[in-house]
Amino acid sequence: MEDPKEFSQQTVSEFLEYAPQASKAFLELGMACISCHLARFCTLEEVRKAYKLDEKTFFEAISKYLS
Amino acid sequence: MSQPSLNELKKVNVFQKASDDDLEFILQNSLVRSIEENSFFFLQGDEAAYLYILLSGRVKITQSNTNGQQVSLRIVYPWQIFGALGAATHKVAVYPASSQTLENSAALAIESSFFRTLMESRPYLAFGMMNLMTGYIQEIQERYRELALERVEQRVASTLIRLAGQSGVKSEKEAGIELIFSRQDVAELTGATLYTISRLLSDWERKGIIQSGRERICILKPHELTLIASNSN
Repeated sequence: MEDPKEFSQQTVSEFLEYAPQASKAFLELGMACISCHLARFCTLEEVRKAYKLDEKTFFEAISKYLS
Repeated sequence: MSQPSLNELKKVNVFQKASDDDLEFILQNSLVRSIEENSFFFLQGDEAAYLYILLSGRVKITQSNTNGQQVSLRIVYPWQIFGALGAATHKVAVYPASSQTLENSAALAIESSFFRTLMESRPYLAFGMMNLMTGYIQEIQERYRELALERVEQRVASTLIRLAGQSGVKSEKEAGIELIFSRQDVAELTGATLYTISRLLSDWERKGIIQSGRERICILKPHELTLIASNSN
C-alpha cells in the first residue's frame, strides 16, 4: 500500500491521472477540484490547506482509493 | 513563417483523424499569414472567405456595436480554428466578429469554399466541425448564465480561472499562476467596465489574491478566487 503523503507535492491533475479512482475522495470531502480549471496548478498539499482539512482526514480519504 | 508539418497539423482537434493525404491536400490549398500585434486577420462584416488555424501567437475574437463598444467573445490559442463560419454555410457569409492579435501571430488561411467541398466527402471533418461549434455554444451558454445571474466579481473571478486553465503558466518566482492579459482584455471578456475591473483587481491585490501589472495578472491564491467565483465566501 502506497503512503498517500508521497503524492502531496503532485498537482491534482497529475495525481488524478495516476489514480483516477481517487476522484471519489475529493467528492466525499466536498472539494471542487475535479472539475476545476486550476487543477493542473494546485498541489494536493495546497488544496488540503485551502479546504482547511487536517492531514489525517485528507490522506486517509485518498488512501481508501489507492490500491 | 513556413507552413506547418503534418504532425503539427494533427494538434488541431478537427484534424486528429485526418489522413496524411488529406492534410497534404489542405496544405496545398492554404497559405500562411503573419501579422503584427494589434492587427486583424479579418474584420466584423468582411466576407468570410477563409477559415484560419492559429500557428503562433494569440488572437481575441471581438464583436462591436454601432457605437464602437467592444466585447471579447473568446481567446484563440495555437492549433485552434477560428473564422470557420464561411465553411459551414452555402450562402455568402460574413464574419460576425473581428479577430485581433494580442501579440505577433501567424495563421494558416484555408479557403472556406475549398474546406466546405472537402467536408462534403469527409464525415470526420463535418463531425469535427460540429464538435467545435458545440464547444462554442457551451462556452457562450456558460458566459450568458454568468452575465444574467452572477455578480460582476463572480464573473471576473470565473473568467480569470477560465483563462488560467487555458493559458496560465506556473510562475516559480511569485508562486502563482501567470496570465498575459491586460485589465482592458478582462473588461472586454466579462462585459464589465474598465473602471469596475480596476476597482476589483485593486481590491483583490490588497487582499493578496492576485498581483497585477501592465498586461499581466498573477493569481497568488487560486482557491480564494474559486470561492469568489462560486460565491461561497
